[in-house]
Amino acid sequence: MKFGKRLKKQIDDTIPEWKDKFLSYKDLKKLVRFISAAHPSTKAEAQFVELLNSEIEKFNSFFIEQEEEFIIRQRELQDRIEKLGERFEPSDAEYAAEMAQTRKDIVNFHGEMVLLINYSNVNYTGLAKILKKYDKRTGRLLRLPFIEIVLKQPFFTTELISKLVKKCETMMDPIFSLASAVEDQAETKEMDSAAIAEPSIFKNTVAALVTMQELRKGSSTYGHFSLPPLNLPEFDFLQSPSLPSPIPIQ
Amino acid sequence: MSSQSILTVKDINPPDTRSHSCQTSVPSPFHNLFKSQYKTSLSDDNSLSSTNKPSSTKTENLSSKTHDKPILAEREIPISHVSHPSFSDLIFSRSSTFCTSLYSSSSTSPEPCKYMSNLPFLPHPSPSPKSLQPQQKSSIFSEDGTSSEMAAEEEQSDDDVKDFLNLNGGDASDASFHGGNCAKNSLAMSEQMEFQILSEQLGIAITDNEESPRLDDIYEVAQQETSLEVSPGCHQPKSGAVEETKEPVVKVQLSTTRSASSSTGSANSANNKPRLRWTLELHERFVEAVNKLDGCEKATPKGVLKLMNVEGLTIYHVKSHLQKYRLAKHLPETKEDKKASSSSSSSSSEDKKPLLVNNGNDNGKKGNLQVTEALRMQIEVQKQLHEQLEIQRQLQLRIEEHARYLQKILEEQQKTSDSLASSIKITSTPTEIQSQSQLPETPSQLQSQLIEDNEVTKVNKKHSLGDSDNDCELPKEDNKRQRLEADELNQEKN
Repeated sequence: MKFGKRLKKQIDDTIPEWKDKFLSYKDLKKLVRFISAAHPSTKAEAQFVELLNSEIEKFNSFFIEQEEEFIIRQRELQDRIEKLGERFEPSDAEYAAEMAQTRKDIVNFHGEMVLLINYSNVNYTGLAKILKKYDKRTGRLLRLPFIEIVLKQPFFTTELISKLVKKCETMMDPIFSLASAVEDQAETKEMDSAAIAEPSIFKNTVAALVTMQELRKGSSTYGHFSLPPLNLPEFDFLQSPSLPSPIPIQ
Repeated sequence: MSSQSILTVKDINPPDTRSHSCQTSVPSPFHNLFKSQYKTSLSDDNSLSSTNKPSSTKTENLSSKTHDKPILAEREIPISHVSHPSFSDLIFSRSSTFCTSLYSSSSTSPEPCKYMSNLPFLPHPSPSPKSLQPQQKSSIFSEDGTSSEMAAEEEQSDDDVKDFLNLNGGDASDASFHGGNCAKNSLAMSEQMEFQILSEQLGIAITDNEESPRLDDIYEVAQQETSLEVSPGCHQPKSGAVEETKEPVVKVQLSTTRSASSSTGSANSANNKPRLRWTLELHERFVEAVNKLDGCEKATPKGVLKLMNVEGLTIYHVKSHLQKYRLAKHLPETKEDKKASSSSSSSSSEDKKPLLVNNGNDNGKKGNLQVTEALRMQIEVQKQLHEQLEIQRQLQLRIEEHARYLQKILEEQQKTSDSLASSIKITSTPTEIQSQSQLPETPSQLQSQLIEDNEVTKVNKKHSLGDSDNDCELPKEDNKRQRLEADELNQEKN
């Protein structure tokens, strides 16, 4: 149930609109349990596969929609940044405000895209696990061929989003280097929640990282087909008490 | 059959470039799919650039594609060497419109070449349902009719097309589709993936109901493949399923210069909307078209569609995309308005991001330094997550590859031991045993261990994930062949 719990936690922390788009891991697990181990009928298998297919369809449509929106937004952000330089003088107050807003938007945008990739990965992991359970329970060999199909699905082929993320990072560099120049004059006040651009995104990102690390730390079924343990660089916030579970960073 | 195909291919090699290029354009919608699947050496952007320019990457693509293609590769090796060079010469001498009209996708060099070589090697089709054929014919010829260029050379090209299509041993006009159908009709679990690829590549023309039948057909096929082949125990008649479902998942490729778009297909769904996967290039064209039409407000979907001039793109795609585009445009504007009126943002912020941040003016006073620092930290975390996700994804892919390989080995070994047992009973000659137990191209070390130990797992343990590279470097054709054999064996056992 560990994965199920972690998945649930990720879903709780995720962007609200995404909550029902994740894998129905629990339901699938129930289905597998109900399938008789002694006599795995083709009907049961067909039902299982049908459910899997509908899940995959759900992922695909959501993913493709999001991808489309990200493409649009990325372009718009790019245009906005270009225009930013043209519209204002660097010393303008309005410029600073625009800059700040743009920075936040970029960071949010970047975060959302990364979370989409995470979404894809989490769902893939869930599918792989459930297929493994099915194979184990029924002795059938569904996992290998099915996972081949999954590997080709749009929701798993995240190359475009990755590319957008990298583009975003390139866009960010000049923005943030400019920022440091402007900041020197800024008055310093207490850091408030406004400082972090988008708490839910940030929170979800951290949760995702933490989950990844935990999932890969080792389990009873850890074997040669499992992913190696995850080594993250030291992040203070990962150990901060505000997080649900303190993770020892290896 | 294959020899016949070989001859026919050779016969056709000389020039009608158009027919060849038509044929070759078929796989292009799926180029990206396979690219991502098989991790070709091509980059996303460059691989499908400019259908009209034969590029040096073409042959590179050809070789990589040939290398990647599972079943086909093994069968088409003799021909592929023959045909590729000539095909690559031929491919881009024609404009893409003809090709796109026929196959509703852009013709880009690598895929056509690959396709060309693949087509002759489709497994001989079992008789496809008659009901499909008229549809196929109509879709093919309707497309033929739409191309003005086609009209000019119709006579000659028709013959050539027919000749070419005859490669598959099917009816003249149906042959390529036929082959594709037959690809779909393949029942063996072991060959599902390969044939799925095939059918996707071929982009079978099935429906006649959709606005853009060509593209829809392609995706319907792919969709069928995904859904049908998933269930191992159910050998649904593919043709029947194909006829039923009219909900294609669409993948559009640009018809002219830009690099192509992305992957297709999802599992069978109740969704009636044709699904399109937008790419950067496609969006770029969209934006250009919109700008030409004086902005997103004034632009109409129809106008944009016409200006974009992308084969297979429907007005629905453009409509929904335009809607999203307008939304994205308006949000920054409303944000600016809010700032001007210095009201905090709430409802007008983007749907997906409830912004807690005060408007920019406040931030200017509040401590840009801290804000920026916090943002930097956030970015760092996000970058980390991204990096880890990428790594994880690569690992997952390799794990699956590894698993596939091991499965093959296991089954080969079983087969070996079976034949060994039987040959001992029959007291066969030593050579027979040797040939049967021989696994060409597997690492000899692994091989000997398998035969000695009779335990695949022990062998596995000697390979950590880090070593999986060695396994992955095995010639893919042989991997696939072994996998096929193993899967067949597996099928028998099951």
